[in-house]
Amino acid sequence: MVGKQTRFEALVYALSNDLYRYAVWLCRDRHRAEELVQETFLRAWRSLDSLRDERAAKGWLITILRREHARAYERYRPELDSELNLDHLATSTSHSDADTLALRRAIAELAPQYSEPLLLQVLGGYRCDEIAELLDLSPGAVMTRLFRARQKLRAVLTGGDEESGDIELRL
Amino acid sequence: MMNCLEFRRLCLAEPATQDKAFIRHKRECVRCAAFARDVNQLESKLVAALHVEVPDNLASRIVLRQSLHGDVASEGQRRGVYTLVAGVLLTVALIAGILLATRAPSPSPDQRVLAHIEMERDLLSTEWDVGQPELARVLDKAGVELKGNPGRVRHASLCPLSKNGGVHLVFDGSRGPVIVLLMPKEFISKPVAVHSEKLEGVILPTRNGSMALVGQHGEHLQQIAQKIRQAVSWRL
Repeated sequence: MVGKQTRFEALVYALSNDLYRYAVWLCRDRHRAEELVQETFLRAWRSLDSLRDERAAKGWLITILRREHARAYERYRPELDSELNLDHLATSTSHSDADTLALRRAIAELAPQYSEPLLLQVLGGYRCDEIAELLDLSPGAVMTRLFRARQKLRAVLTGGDEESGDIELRL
Repeated sequence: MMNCLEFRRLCLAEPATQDKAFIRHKRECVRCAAFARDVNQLESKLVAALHVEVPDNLASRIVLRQSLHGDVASEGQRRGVYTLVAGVLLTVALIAGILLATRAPSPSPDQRVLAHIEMERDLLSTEWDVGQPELARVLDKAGVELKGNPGRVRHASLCPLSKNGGVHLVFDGSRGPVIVLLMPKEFISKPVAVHSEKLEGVILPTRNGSMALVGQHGEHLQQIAQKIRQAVSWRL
């Protein structure tokens, strides 16, 4: 039999890194992100009896984290006009080429409706249908948002705009 | 048969898709194969741009905080301190443990509902109205068809804990918000009372599972249950 404590610690060690990376981009502040992850796991501990399928744990934790973020930080708006802020989101020693910096800024400037599905897909490894479940959207809506998010990001790297992406799509 | 436009839209929405038509089109269309390579390069750059270093001992600090503030017994506290020291070694053991372990005993239905409400307590403060189309969409996923108006619904969402398409609803009660949990495939043979220091409720059998209603003490839950029963039909 597995005790509650052992179950909890297994979740923490398996999933806290992924949750932290997602949280950093969600609230755009490393200190707030750690506090968010701590609160998420504390709430998860108190409700652990509700989790009956370990395979659903990651989605469950992400849902708690999103709600905790909305509750705690809804009035907090990170500044986006500082390269330093964006630089602090990621490691400062690697991946610091121009494309990476431009992408980092572009991702930070995406509206949440576009950035959230993108973060869940790239950082969380979720498929469109799984993201739809997590965000309570239709799969079609998620695909549209991901499509537009990548279209915007491609435009940043190619120096074009979203319209040029559309032209390319029209062949 | 997927055409080039469909391919490129799917490629941008889900570059790692294993859709058979997508893979076949990539094999057969040189221009779209090049497009996919371009998107994959973007994906690599995205991963690099989103890379975040995780602070040392984050997991150990989470366990330590839980052991100090999570209402854990003293044995748990000692384990939390031990974990701080032996984190890396324990990681391997715990991941193996979660794969091999059998489940803990299931809590009773009323305990599960109260634990659920505790986690979802933010729902009690939601203030917006859910329109009938949105309500119908959410209910449909839980195997419930909306046929009438059950009253003002302040919140409707799918339950992240349910494997069976459970739904959270929040209604206005006479003494405050009332949380309703629709729990398909969670069958009970007779009504179960739910009681805590601040809340009380009831779990009722439905055609496809059960439905929990929880509100303040003295709330007229049966009236709300009746309105819901009149407004919906359960699919089997």
